[in-house]
Amino acid sequence: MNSKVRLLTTLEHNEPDRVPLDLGGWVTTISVKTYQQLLNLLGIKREAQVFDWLRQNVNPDDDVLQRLGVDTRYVHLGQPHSWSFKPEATSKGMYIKDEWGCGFLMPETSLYYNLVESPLRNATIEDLDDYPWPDPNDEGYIYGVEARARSLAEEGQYGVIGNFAWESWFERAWKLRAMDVFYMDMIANKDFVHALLDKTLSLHMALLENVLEVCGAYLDVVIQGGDLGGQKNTLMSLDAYREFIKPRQEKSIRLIKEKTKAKVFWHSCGAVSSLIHDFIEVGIDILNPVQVSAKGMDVSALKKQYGNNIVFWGGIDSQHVLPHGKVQDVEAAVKNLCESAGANGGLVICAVHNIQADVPSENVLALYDSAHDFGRYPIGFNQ
Amino acid sequence: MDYIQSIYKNILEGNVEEVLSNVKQAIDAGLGAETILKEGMIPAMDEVGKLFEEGEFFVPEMLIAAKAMQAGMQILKPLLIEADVEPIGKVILGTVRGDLHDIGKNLVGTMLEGSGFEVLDLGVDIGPETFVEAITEDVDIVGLSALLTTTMPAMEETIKAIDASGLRGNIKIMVGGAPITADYAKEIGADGYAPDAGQATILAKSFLD
Repeated sequence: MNSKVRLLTTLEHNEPDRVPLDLGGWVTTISVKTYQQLLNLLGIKREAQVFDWLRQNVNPDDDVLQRLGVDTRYVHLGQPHSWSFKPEATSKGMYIKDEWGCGFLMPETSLYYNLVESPLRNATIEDLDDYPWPDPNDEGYIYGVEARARSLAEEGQYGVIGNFAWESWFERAWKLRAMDVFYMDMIANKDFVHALLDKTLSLHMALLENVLEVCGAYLDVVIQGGDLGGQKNTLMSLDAYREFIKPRQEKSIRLIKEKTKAKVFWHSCGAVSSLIHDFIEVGIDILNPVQVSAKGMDVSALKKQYGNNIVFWGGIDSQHVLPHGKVQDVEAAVKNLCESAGANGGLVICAVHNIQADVPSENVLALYDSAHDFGRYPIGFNQ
Repeated sequence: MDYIQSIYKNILEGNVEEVLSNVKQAIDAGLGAETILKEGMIPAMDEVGKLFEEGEFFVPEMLIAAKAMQAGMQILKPLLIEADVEPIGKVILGTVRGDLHDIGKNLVGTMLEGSGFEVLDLGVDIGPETFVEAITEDVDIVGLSALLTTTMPAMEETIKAIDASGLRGNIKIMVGGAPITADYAKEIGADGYAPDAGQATILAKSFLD
């Protein structure tokens, strides 16, 4: 069974030969620092290159993905022609404005670029009309997308994943407004929240339309997302989610399903168990990252309740096990995940969110290597 | 409804303008700043913390209640100083080196202030030496925040630097942030851990007993 069949089988809630593995993309890849250590550990002499400047992550090389037995391959959006990554050195660190006008800073002490300027912090609804929005028709975004997706599809070896979240229409809205202001607006300035989300969603959908037009036929999964959970609860109430987010998820997912047969993957960190019912209703096929360290995210309980209707993608704890655990702890987490959520397929394994710079490369290797053993069907289920 | 009750209700509902006018009206009606703080603001913030912990309040409700409380405090602060009302304790807060996340830390600061503490918020990406420099004789509590697993070690370094400076004395150190646990807090030598802003306030008060 090749990787593509393995992934498609599990996405249809059937058992393949083993649980598929993922690495790459937007929220399931690896930091440049840990990746370099992994290359060293694997005896590959190569300098790791940053691919995602914001989070300082890499686009893993094919030989590494093959060595780890990763079943997915990614198609990424290109960079718009109207913008380029040219950070300035300032007294506070490296600084850059992204194509949306949000300012990011990476001080020497930090491993990432951090949002420091939200240009719509004081804006009114009227200001949204005049704002210099990025152009979703900028051809840079779809540059190379069709060729990459087609060649992966024709090769037929791997699951083809379209990394088209474009940093999330929902998170983009609060990045432009500033997170605290945006969240308060949900109570005190609802019209603004609706207007801003309408704007970011319309741009997002215009881009999706363009990109799916050229490659929709080749994709197995389309990545979407936006964080809706915190450590202990959802970030907003169920009513607020249903007012601001759900109808827009529905709209964008309807477009995706019109344009491609690919499954829809939604990334949301945190404690989101109370939203899964609604996620299924709007057509989300895959939930990522299943943050097992957050409240109510016990994967075995979630599997029982929702396992027939949604695929769990992620599940290896990155707040405790991966950075602070030993190899045996990582192996135990992989075994437990396979046993509690592997029945009838519907499970893809990777770290909960990107593998951070403090994760020992031995633990990364243990995650993938042990999944080949513990993830082999038939699995001794523990439910 | 009396002014105190209105202040309480409007903080819970996050009505910033109403809290401002309620506080002004209460003062004009002759109520002391200390009474307004102790009978209106503090019980309101305690309730906000409780509702968040119980899952009744979410981030928007919590942030906007904190904003309303803060608005009222801006009026009360000079009056409390004028009336020689001593804060119940002084807290230094900051997000540790390498970490620029501050929404949780800011909420902790606001809740503490609303509970009668004096708060010195150092900001984000704060190195151990800056925490040490900020510790003056009147400081009771140092609060350290980290959202990222990669900045958790900076928390331990900060505690070690405070210990090494000889300033630990009677100071209590509390820690918080998404990846932090009570076990981790203990391991790095902190005196306590709180999972959210409401519980941070309860913890800080318990240090004063």
